[in-house]
Amino acid sequence: MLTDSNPYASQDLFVPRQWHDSYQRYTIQARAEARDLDATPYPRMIDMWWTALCVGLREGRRSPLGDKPAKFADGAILSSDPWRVAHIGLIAVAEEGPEVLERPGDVIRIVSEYAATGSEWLVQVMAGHAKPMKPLAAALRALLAE
Amino acid sequence: MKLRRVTIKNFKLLTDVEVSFSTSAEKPLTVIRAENGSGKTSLLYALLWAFYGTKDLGPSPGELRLSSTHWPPREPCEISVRVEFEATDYETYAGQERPTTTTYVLTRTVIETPGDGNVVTREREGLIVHAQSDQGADRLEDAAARALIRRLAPEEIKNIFFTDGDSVQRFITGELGPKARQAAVHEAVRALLGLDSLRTAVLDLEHARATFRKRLAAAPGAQALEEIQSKIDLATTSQAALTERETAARERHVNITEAIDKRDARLYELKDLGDRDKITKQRDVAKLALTTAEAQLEAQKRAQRDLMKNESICWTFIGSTLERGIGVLQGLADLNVIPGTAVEVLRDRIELGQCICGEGLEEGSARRQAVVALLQEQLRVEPNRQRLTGLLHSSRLLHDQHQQQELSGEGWLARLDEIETSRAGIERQIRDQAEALKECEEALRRLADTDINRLLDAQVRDRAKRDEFVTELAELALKIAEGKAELEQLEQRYEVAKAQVKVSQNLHDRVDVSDDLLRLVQKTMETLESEYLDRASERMNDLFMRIAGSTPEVPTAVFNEVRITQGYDIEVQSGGYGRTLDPDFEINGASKRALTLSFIWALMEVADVSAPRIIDTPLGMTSGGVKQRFVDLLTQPPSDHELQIVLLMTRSEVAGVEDLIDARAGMVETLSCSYQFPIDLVNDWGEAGPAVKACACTHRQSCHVCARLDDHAHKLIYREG
Repeated sequence: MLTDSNPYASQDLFVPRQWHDSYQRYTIQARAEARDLDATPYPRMIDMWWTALCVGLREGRRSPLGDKPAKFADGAILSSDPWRVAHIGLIAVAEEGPEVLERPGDVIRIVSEYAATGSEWLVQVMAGHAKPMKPLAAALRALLAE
Repeated sequence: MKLRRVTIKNFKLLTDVEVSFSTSAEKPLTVIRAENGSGKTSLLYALLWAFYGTKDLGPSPGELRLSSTHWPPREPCEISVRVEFEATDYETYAGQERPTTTTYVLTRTVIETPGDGNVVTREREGLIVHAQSDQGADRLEDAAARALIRRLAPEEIKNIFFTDGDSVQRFITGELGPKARQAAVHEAVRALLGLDSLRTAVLDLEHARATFRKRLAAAPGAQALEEIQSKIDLATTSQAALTERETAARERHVNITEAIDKRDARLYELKDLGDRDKITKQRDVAKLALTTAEAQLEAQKRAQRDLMKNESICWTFIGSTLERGIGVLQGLADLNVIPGTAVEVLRDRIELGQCICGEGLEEGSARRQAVVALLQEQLRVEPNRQRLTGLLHSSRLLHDQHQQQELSGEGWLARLDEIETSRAGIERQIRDQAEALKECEEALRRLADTDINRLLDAQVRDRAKRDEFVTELAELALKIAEGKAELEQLEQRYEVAKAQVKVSQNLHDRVDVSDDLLRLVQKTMETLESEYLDRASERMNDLFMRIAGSTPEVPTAVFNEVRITQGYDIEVQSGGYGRTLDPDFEINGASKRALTLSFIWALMEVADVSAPRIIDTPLGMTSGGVKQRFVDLLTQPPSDHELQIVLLMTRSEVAGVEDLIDARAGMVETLSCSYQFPIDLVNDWGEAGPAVKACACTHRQSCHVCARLDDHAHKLIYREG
């Protein structure tokens, strides 16, 4: 049974401002050449952010969101994939103990800082590729092998 | 003519070089060993310049530079080439033919001053030829000197005597086309057999004979003779017109045959493209396969994109963190912190008015107040407990699902492998089908661009025209033969009538002599053009088959026969079915060289031309047995004519034919260039600028001057210079 409530629905999700354009570039099919799915490896920003979170955690490093971070979604978006709500909770509990769940803002801050580390990694991997899907997959494989 | 020695000063990088040549009848070969950039071609050009001057030596005399590019600007450079050579004339004394050999020294000089950039100015060239005898050296008059050169080394055939391997290869082959090849062959035959001189002699003799015959016809009582002569004149004019028409018809025949052949090749190519309907079907199949593969690729791309965002990526990358979180929750459960039950128990106890320990919980009692406070605290943490409980349950479920996926091989990495393998296969299919589609469309476009019917119509039309030309040629040949017979009859009648004319014996004699001479020269021309051509053809075949190592009796032999046709074409027959190969396209580079050299050698032998044959890098593209046979046949001392052959060879060309050079070469020398130190040359000669030096090293030796870094590969013996 999955939790059917989302305690983070009222939280805003942010990324460091310097990566926001790249989030748009690799998720929004605005340009003609981006019609190729390989040009935009992620359907939505939340999907890219989620990989960034995984990468940041894998690296074991949190990065500050910096001044004026860019909001890219409401926490309500997490409800579309309820497993994400559970994963966020587990990450926060593993990081700071069970009491942290009483403070949804802190939970979101923790995962956002991991995602900030992962965002930089993702942008560097995909930069310069018109079709970044293949280099992204290769880099993720390499990260797993480390 | 045989070269004895050449001394070159300031010609290109040959600042001071002397090279001697073998004049031995038994060892007619001279080898000048030189690597690329060591002065072989400059030596060849120096000899050409010495004999023929700057004409045809470069792009144009104005652009030609004879001095080194390193010669300082505005400083006059004195260039000279001194060639010592001998020529043997045969004179008959008392019924016996006796050879007389004379040595000549030819010196050509010029002063060239380089300007800025590529500009050079050259003063008038000087040419001096001395004939040496026991009494000393006599300088020949300028006209006599030019005549001597013209006689011994005619300019028309200089490109045959002085040549390089590549030119040899291109001489009668090399994408020339039959017409150009025939012209080149005809030109060589005319030059080597001296046909042009004979043709001039025929014209001169015809003119002389006409003069004498007019005088004879003007004599008293020579009306009949005059009448016959005018008929002869008429018949001769008619013959000339017929011959002219025949030449024109032959040319039209050649042109139309070439056009037909080209169109045939085009039609063959189109036929090779295939049937339009078949190609259209192939295109449709390729298009469908391409569309299907593209849709499959799109689906795989979508699957890969989904994989990048689904839950399995989390378990793969951060499974340990998630499991640590589950562990924390499980710890709470193990301690019964979750799920929370204290609220219910405390509520029951307050309602019963009795504590778990059995004590009473009366209203207002301190114990009751403590239990109520405990209940309120439990009520405060209850929602969090519920969240933790819910999280534990959902996480366990997700974890179980993930483990299930991993066990069934549907984990993130396994799925990525699967998608990428599938994508690679589909992408390969797309490339193949796109290529097939492109080829089909290209073939269809080419078919569409070509009006095959128009080509076929033109082919039918031209074939009919060619048949007409063949008929016309046959008719003309018949008329020419009839005309010839008529002329012969008229000549006989003329002889009879001439005997009856009373004129001085002297005039009779003159007419007779001019007639005889004309007949003799005409007969000689006919002999040269037919009999000698046949002999040259046979000899060429013999030489070529021996070089190529081909045995005509073997049905699978590559070459069965090569021959010079009466139309001056070179025909190469192959295989057991008597098929003809195109010398331009269907024989390899080494065979092209062998064919051309066999042709030149055969012509020279038949024409008994004794000029030296100097070939720069003759053995390019040849190796093994062909190379051996090549050198063997070209350098064989002939028994019935003089031969002098000079081969300018690199060390690689020498490799494999050292023994033959030992046996056939009367002289071997080496040229080297200083600028190749230290990349290739071992020693620095201390030269101020680049210069070529000659040394006496044979093909088996090296010395301080010519030693190269890769000499060990050629097993050379060091010679103290």
